[in-house]
Amino acid sequence: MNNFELLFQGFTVAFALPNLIAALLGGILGIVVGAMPGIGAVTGVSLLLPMTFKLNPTTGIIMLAGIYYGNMYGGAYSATLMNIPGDSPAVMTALDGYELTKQGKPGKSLFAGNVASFIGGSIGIIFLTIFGPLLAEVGLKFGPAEVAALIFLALTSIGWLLGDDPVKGLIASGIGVLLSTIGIDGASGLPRFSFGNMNLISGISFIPLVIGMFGFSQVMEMMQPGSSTHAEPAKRLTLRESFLDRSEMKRILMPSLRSALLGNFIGFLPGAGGTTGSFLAYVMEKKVGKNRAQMGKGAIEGVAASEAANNAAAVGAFVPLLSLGIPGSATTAVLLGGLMMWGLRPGPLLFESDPTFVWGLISSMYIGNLVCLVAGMAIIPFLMSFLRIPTKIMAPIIVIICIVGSYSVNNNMFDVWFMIFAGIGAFYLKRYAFPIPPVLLAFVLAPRFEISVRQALSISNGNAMVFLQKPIALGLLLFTFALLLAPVVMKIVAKIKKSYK
Amino acid sequence: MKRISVLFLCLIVGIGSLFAAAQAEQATYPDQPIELVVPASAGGGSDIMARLIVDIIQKNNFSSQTIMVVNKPGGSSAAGHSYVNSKPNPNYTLFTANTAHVLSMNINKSKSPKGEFTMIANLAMDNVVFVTSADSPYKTFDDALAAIKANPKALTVGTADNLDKLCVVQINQEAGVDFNTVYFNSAGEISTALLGNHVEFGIFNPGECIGLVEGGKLRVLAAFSPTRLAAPFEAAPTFAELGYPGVEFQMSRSIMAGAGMSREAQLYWSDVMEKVCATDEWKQNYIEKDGLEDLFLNADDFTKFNTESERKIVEAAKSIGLL
Repeated sequence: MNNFELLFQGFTVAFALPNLIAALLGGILGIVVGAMPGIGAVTGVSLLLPMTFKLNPTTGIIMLAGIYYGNMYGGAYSATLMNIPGDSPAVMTALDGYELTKQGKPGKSLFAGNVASFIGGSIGIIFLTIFGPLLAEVGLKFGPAEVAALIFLALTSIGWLLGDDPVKGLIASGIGVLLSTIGIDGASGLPRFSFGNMNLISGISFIPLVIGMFGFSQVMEMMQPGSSTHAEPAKRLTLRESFLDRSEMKRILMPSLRSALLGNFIGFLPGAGGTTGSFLAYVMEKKVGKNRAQMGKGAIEGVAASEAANNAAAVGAFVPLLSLGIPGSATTAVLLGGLMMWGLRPGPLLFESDPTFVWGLISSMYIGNLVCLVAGMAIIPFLMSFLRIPTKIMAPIIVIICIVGSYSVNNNMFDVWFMIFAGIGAFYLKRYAFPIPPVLLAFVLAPRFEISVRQALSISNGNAMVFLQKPIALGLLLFTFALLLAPVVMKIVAKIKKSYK
Repeated sequence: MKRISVLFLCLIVGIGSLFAAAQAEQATYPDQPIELVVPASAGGGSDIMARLIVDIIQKNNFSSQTIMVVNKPGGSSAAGHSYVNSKPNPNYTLFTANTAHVLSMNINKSKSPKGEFTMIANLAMDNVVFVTSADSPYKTFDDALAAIKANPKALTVGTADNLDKLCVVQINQEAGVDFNTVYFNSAGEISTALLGNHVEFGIFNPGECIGLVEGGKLRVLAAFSPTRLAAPFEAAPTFAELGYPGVEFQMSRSIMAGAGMSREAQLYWSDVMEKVCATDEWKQNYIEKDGLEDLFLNADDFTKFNTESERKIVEAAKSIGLL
């Protein structure tokens, strides 16, 4: 039987009433959990996993897939409404999403995010259906040297987010890199910059950092006299105003498709993940998109690029899980635990030994994605009413969310203090026009870059040529340098042309 | 509409505090959710075991409290240990341990400044195998030896902790060769690198590679166990058979807790783990499937056992200069 026949067989499984209800419940639960900052997909899925044990394996995993999806949708909501990304892939969503909210167009951002998430997820699932195991093979081509080159490309792309003053942008990136080096050195096991402090030895957690730098510093800005950072639309926003009209749908279609393809590809590479995916997609959009000038100032294209890419990456992580039994992300690792509990063993044989399960799961992803789209749309009017809460009430609420969110990551008070410290730091950075996103992106990407470089060098016995001998790594590096040199070359070409004239 | 929003928020806060109140009312231990720290990244041997334990406990209601698996990878388990040490109350944090982690506690000095960790229970003994990818030119361990002898340092073995490294060092010493090693965060990452031909060999526990071995993607060249392992590893000779009786390892898989856990809590979890190890799910889905050997030791027996095995492994590490 070919994949499509198996898929349709899967649909008959997924369309059974209990399975549909499971998908719907999972999707809604997932959205609610995903929208809470600090909880995120990993915690959400592990909290809800035990609920599914009472169900049969197929129904259970369908519900889990719904939860997983819902989480991806929900992450964008707090990023848009409160400028607090629920999880690291949503950092890029916050850039344009919150700008739109400030302009009184939160509905447009939420709507664009939902549609883009749906497109991203669908493309991811379609690729999984058609190519499945084949994609996993491509992912394997990325060893330490290749991953290092890919992250190098991502790191240099931070340049396009630096804002008006590149020097300040570089300083911001440097702060991110420095913060990320605190803690145990992954290659040798020795503590760095911990000053003997127990809390610093295990390193700085991302969630408190991001909640502080985005959310808490936001509140501080709101509290300034004469501040107008928090939108208080005088009139009630109607649902109709938040629908995207035809031309706006057209505007986000291409960016979503492009970003979904890129995000999906990065999703099944080992260790790259949704953050790198949404980040590179955003940068690509800023380079090639029609509306690139508006990106970062409240463009629906920016929201779409980030959301489409991180949803596609989330599905991409299923590829190595189902075809090789290797989880591509922390969340899929939790799912792996669930699969093993039901006596399934993910690996190269799963597609053959348990086709009902695999195709039931894949077809339920189609349904889960659709369910989340509908549920997400239905929730928009309610979410928008949040914004009608006046600043004097909203600010304390956000502070509480910041504190609870950062505490709940590790159940550790140190994270709360660190969140407040990061918030105050970010407030002054912003005041002196240092951009914040480079800090966070450098913080996420630098450790992965460091470990990949060190692995590549220890495989090659310290020979740095390893980055040039591997064709994929070489290609990525050449591409990076071409991108870096392009503006200079263009200028020279333009000059020569002028002199000819 | 504004009022409704405020009302809804109050509701959320209210529900949240209800949870807190409900937990505060229970007097008997455990009266708070428990964290089970895995000092390795998701998908590795420790992680698989931890998630199965939690699933079994929750499915069978062996404990009234929710148990959350928390992955703290990095620094060959030192990051996880320092996370456990940072907890103010030791009664609500457990962690998975194995011989490799015990070794790294000594190498990285990641033990608690408050004293020795609390021993909860030994759950099983795990084996170690030497693996290559199915399409590599090394059909037997002797092929690998011949290749590394011809080209010292040119072949790399992926390792996920210091015990794996100790295994490679033992091969190097006993067979007089020079395999290069590279550190990965988990066995999952080693298998990815092996399948992509980025490293030539890898050190695994059977459970970490069984799916890929059955699926014909990886080939086991030799086992560090005293006798041959069960299917699908039965074709792999032991190192003793290959002529290197000095190369032998088995590792303990256990649960520990932070220094200073109360006796009540220690016995509570020792009992829960005994129940877990008695379930069919544990025996079939873990011990049999992942090629381990059943060996449950309760808190007191395990404390003695670990003191002895820690002494041995530290000695071995010292003799080859790791410590």
